[in-house]
Amino acid sequence: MALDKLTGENSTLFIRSEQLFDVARRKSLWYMAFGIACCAIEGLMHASGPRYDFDRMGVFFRASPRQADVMIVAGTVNWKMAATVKRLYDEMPEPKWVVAMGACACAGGPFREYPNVIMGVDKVVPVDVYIPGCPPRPESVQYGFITLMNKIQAQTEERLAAARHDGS
Amino acid sequence: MQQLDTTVARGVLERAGVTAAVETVEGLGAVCRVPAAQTRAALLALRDSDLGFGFLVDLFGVDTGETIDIVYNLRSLTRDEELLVKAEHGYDATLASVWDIFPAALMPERETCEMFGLLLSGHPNPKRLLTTDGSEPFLRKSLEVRTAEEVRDRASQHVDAGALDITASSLADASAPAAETVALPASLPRVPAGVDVEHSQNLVLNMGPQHPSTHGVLRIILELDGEEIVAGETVVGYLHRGIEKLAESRRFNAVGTLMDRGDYVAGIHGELAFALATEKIAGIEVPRRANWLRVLLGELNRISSHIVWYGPMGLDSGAMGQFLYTFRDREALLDILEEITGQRMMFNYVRPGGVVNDITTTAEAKIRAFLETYDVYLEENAELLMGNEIFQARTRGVGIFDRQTALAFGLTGPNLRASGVNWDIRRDRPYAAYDEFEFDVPVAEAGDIYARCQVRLEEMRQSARIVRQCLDGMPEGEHTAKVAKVLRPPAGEAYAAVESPRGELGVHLVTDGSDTPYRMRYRPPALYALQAGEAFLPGNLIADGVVLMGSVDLILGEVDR
Repeated sequence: MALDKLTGENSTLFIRSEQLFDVARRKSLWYMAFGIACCAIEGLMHASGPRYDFDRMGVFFRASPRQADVMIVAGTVNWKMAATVKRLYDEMPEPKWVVAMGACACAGGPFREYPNVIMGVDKVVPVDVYIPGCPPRPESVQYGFITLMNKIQAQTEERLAAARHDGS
Repeated sequence: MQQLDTTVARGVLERAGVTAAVETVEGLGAVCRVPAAQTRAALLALRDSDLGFGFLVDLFGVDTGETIDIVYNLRSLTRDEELLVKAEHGYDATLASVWDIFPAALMPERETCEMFGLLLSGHPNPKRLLTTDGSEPFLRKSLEVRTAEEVRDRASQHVDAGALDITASSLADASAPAAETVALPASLPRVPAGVDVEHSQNLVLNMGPQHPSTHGVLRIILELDGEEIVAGETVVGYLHRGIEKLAESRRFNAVGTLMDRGDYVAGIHGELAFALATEKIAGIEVPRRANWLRVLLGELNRISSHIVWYGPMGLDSGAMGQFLYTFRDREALLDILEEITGQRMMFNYVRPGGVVNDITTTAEAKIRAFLETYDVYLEENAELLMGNEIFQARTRGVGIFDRQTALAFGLTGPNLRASGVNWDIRRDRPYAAYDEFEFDVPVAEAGDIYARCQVRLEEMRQSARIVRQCLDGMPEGEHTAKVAKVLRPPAGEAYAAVESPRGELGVHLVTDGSDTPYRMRYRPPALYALQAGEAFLPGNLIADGVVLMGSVDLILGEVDR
């Protein structure tokens, strides 16, 4: 899209508000700085570090759940932690997404046999994207976020299609 | 290490009126069995006698099938001797706290009691440490881990997280008679009895488990008078994954995967400690080249681990730039580690008998290239943060552990050396090939946060020096001994410790002749550092408290295991 032609003087852009919000949401997925275990080093620290530079994808960390769009669950969730994960999820404003990073958050990982460990964070909060690996590389986390962006776009298009079908 | 003269120890205990059996056991050294009721008297006598066993290395339990053995691992730094004190307890016994004799026992006692279902008496804050109410005593042998069917049947386990009760209530035995307490370290600001949330007249502030400056899932409850901390209590266990229990169901060459995930930024050291303990029991001779490779990888890993401390240390004290600079260097290091071991963090590289594979020629070139740039970068980083006047003003004279306190709280590694104790496992208990290398052990006297930074920084320089020696003098030979695929070491017991970036990472291994360990105790240096940090929070400002907790270098994976 030749943006300069659209943003010239007196130019007007007609867009459905849904689509406009969709662009804004996809391009600034702020995640909550909430690392549980080993995955936090790779998925949160290295991914936003100088080589992988999450920032260029509009993904940046916020310290408070009130300002975050995405929660990366980076690590094993056990019975003591589960209540906190749920509470943090509830504190995040809508719309919100959850990325389960690593084998532990997906299904319990190497600790699945221990009775104190919950086998996957999807038992506690709804998960949008699962990233396998132990721990996943920072590239995997970035791919996970691209998948999440595509998912957000697909949802928007689905909603628009449904709205057209209703004749509204 | 000197061998303890058992007759001297027996004499000391006899004079204190303790009926004890002292003997020398293969792989462990001197072991002393005392009756449970006389444990306190025995420990006090050993601490205050000429033997000078003033350092509690570790406290843990072993379920022998008939009794629960509580093991106190003591060390005398003056005489360079070690002694294990074992006391048998019944399954419903009450453990008499020894925290006033050895403050290092504060948290390990709580952990041992909840994990073995014992009660605790005489402890200032006898709450559960790692688990919540209703949890089983996981480390008892009668308790099984989930079976394969249970794991497969995932759908049956739905968690209503909102309704979860996560209170960790007291394990105190109210009926136990109060023991006479002995004098506490003079520098201790107050008895570490936690924060009384309900009755406090002051403001109670909760930090964590989600907080950017608690280095993981640490929760700190602070009682504040204005900006000054009156009392502090750390709550851990949010990452308790049962590494010690799961090791009992893993084969010997697979336990490394669990050790990696314990101290997850220094995996090589965890694997190495376990491999050393296994080799001690199984009597495996490790080839010289394998030992050199262990040193090489260990030191590369030490630099990468100190970087994870150094960058966030800047963040804690208000300097964002440090994080970006140091992580640039860490990426280069992880590339090297990945090329040699195949993984960036979870190496599973050191196995009983040697290492998994040899280093490649390209890896060697990469290491040399890295060292060349790193020498410059390290000095640059040191200037940027340590040379910064604001940083110095914030860290000098804050959070001081004096020599006595550091020993009493069981600090090890850089934290201990920053308090003026010249003790390094690499030099004083040489393992792998460390006796063939030349390196200095940095020691600082001040014991404050700045001293801890100085020691770690100098350690990074020394690590680079050891890596250079490794590359120049790498001997030819095999990278691993010939070891059976399924190891079945004979029944025995051994303790092996390595100098991990956080201190003494020890593995106490008990085997019974089968293909899995009978009991594996992981001595977490970060847990001991954490309780010292907690005890010295009172009297600091909130902002200094954050830097103090950061400066002891916590890795919560290791604290909770």
